[in-house]
Amino acid sequence: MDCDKVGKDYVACFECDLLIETPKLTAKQSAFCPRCHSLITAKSSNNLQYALAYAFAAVILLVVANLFPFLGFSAQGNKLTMTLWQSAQTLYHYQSEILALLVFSFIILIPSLLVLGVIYVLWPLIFSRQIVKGGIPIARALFTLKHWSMAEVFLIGVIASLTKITSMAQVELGLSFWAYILFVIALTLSLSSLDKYRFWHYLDQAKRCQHLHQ
Amino acid sequence: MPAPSSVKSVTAKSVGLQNCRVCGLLNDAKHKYCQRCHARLAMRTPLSLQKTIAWLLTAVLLYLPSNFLPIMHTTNFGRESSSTIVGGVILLWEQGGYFIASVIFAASIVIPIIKILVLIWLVVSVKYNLFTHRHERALMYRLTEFIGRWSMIDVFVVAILVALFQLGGILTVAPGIAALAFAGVVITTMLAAKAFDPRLIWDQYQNGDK
Repeated sequence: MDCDKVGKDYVACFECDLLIETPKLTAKQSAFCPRCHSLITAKSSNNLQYALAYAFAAVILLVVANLFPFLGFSAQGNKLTMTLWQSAQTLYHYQSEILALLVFSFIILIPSLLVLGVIYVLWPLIFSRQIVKGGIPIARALFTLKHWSMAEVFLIGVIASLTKITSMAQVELGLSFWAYILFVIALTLSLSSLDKYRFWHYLDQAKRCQHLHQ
Repeated sequence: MPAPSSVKSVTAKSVGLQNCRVCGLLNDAKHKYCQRCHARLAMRTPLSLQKTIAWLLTAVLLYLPSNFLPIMHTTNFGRESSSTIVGGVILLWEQGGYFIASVIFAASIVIPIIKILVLIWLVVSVKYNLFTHRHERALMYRLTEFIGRWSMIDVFVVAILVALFQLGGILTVAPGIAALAFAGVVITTMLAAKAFDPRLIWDQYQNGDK
């Protein structure tokens, strides 16, 4: 119990450090800082459960997105297809190793680490009120890594390049393309449901439960 | 809702508490690591302005090659041509892709410049205690942080074109050095925004009004 004695009744705004009484919110309320108007916590009754559900959907969709051709096109009898993985891999073949690594990290590695991390931490937390081994460092990494996932930016990039190509060739959208779009939607919903404030308060409650059981 | 001006702004710092930037727990000033999530604590990000400026300088240095050197090399029937970011936008505009040309123009040229200018404004205003526009500055900071990743579009366009036209015979596309430089611009401006501690904007007012 002693672990959260400090600052139990107050929180501070992340952006301007104003001390605010811990907001007591119903499911449909959000809290904003009265001074700088930045978001303190977002609404929704059970958004951690949503974060977990969307993360599951995202994992399945990401697997599908890696199994099939992503884009294909035919021009003058030539038929070419590429996979999602190849959008990073081909750069590697052109001696742009760093660029290949960056693209791979931003569109595949970081997004998949995020969804796996969300599942790993939230599943035991929600279903058995347990803080899993290594759960706290992983949760910390999740909130830091969140800003470096660029799956949705990549999707806009795909649409931009399609407009470039369609003038010269017939483009086919592969199954992976549609799976990746759904993956991006699930990932975005999962991460936006993972509210910082609610997550750590939920974790505190779980910690208190563990203390009581011991 | 805006706070009534009679309300005295009490910050965590003014009562000797440090807010954990990862989990939001208020920690006593004596702690080095957060008591809940074990993240490194600081009253304010140490050397925040210096770090921001350092990342910004790097971004400016990378911005020049990223715009003047070719971002991709195209080989069409043995004829080789290179294109820059601006060249690609102009070509796309001429082909009639107005919307996507505007998106790439905004993401690759306008947003990086605005981001760099906004961060310079933030650093200068904090450094020299310019007492105006704090709400606007807070908003600009939030926008800068939010919009950061979206500049990466052009790098992804290159990656997709390269992958799609590999061993393509009639047409091959190879990445240019500007693609890496531009990825560097996006990453360094993101790090600059992360290094800037927005609480500094509000600290100046602790002794002044309100």
